Amino acid sequence: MGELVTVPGFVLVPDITLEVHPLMRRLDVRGDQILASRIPSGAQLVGGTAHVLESVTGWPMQLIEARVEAPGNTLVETRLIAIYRFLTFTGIVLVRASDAQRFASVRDQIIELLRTARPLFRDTQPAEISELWNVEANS
Amino acid sequence: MIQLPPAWTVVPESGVVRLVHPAGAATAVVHYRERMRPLVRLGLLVPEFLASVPAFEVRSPWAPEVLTTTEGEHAALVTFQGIENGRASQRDLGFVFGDDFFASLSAQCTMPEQFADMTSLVRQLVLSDSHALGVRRRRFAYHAPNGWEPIVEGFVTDWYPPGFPNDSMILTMRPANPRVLEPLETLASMVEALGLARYRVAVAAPLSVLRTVAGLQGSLVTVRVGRGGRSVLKQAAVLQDVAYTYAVEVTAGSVEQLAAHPGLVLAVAESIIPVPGAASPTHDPELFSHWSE
Repeated sequence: MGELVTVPGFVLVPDITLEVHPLMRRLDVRGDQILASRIPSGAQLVGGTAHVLESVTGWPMQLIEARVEAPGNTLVETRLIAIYRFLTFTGIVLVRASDAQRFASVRDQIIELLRTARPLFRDTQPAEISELWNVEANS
Repeated sequence: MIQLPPAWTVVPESGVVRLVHPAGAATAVVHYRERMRPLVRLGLLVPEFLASVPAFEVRSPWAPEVLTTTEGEHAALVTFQGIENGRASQRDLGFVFGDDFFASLSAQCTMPEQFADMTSLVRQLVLSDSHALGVRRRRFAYHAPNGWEPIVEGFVTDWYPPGFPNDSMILTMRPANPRVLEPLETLASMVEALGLARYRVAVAAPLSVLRTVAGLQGSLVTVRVGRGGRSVLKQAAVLQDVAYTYAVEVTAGSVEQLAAHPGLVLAVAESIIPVPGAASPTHDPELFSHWSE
């Protein structure tokens, strides 16, 4: 996993997090598998409503929303995954929320935030030859 | 391959050439490695080296010295002064950058009175490091627009603006081609190649002559390229010096999108630093010295 962002709110128990996965240089990424990953034993993923939209700069993206439920339909977690197609790369952000009401109150804001995603294609290869002399580890 | 400094000793080791100072290893040692991969920036190479010598504590600020070898290859020298095992120590790091590999020179000296001479020696070894890479395509330095993101595929870099894909501009930078291998009329050849690939090509703006501050000369052309029901605009600057042909190419989804980035191709073309040339060939009496003990 790449970067974990916690939405400010509940002080003692962070309840809404965004997992920003590293950019992957492939298109055959199974976002639905990432959505279903790390589910507690005995719980299951329910739902899976998908929406297709675009980022603010026009990148194609797909949102899939689902619920993690324990036996007896007890809500464990609401999940929302954004899957981006950046040319030959795939970007993934997984939103996880343990409080349904609080998630509902910020859902639209989170979706607008997800729409601002941009790819950072640069890797360790020098993109231009003078970068070889760059003394920063991350240019 | 580096040259053997006079009176130094070569100690064969696996994967590395080890040179020992005439006064012994306690005075100075140089390690040389060739064909190291991957090719990455100093900001990654230097920390990796320093991590490999944990007993060495850097005590001085450092900055790379940008060099060009006598063969015209890009190179660098970094000098660190510090403390190692309780003694004053200097580490000189030299690099020669190939197309997709690098050679490294690592020198250690523990005699402060020899520090300056050691740095001079390593510099000379780097400058004279011979790789015989010959006439070939070469990447060159230029300034890409601020905030654009690169995708590197081999020698070619495509740059994308922050607003892509709504701002459907792509800046494509290919390596400089040796003029001995390039057709004389490069622009005409590019247009002809598109035509042969069944693209419709129409000139969208008159050809203009270019000359950069760095002395490159060439032309700027804007064409509309289409196939089926779709078309794009391509604007390209093709410039030459005595040895190489350089190209800056932009692809835009529309006239309006190209107009939203006025002067982009010209600015990048103006920023090109030509590929360095080799120094004039001279007789090298040390050419075979690496075989001597």
